[in-house]
Amino acid sequence: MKNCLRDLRKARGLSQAELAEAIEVSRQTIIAMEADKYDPSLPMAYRLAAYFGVAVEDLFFNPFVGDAG
Amino acid sequence: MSQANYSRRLRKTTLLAFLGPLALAIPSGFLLRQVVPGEQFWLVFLASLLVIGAAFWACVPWWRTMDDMQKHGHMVSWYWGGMAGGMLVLAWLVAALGLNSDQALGAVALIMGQTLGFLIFWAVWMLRQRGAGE
Repeated sequence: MKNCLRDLRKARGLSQAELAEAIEVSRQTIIAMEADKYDPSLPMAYRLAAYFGVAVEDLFFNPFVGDAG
Repeated sequence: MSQANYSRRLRKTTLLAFLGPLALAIPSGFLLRQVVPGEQFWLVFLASLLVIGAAFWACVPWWRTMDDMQKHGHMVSWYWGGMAGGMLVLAWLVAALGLNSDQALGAVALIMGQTLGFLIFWAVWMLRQRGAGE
């Protein structure tokens, strides 16, 4: 899932390891999400969004918006 | 929260999950060598279950500490990799020693046990996901 995790993290001046510690996930998980290789669970997405103070959809871009159904 | 708190906790629980079962398996293996096969069946069986239970228990903190992606990786690897590895060994044993060899039958019993355990856990998992259908 496309996201702007890397941009938000860099804007905060955090390394991947620091963000991982803050969210209590592994650094590999942050790397995988930033590289669009892993879609986080809903709780993890909300946790990240809450950490950055943004809405989930501002962090992870909904690929289904605009679909008729 | 102190820096590197999570990764330190993950390292500790991973170590416990690795060393705990190992620390249980080595003396258990030594003791099992002293037992005549088939003798004291219930004692050996129940003691083995206790040791296995303790080994699982040692892995619980590790499992609870892992994040979603790590758990997902282990589940996918265990399901596909573990099953493929087991089947490969079974095929090798059948080809090399025959279907009725003790080794092949032992492997079949192990895979049947795994399958049964899988089905029980899957059924429990399905039941726990139930909600009000409309």
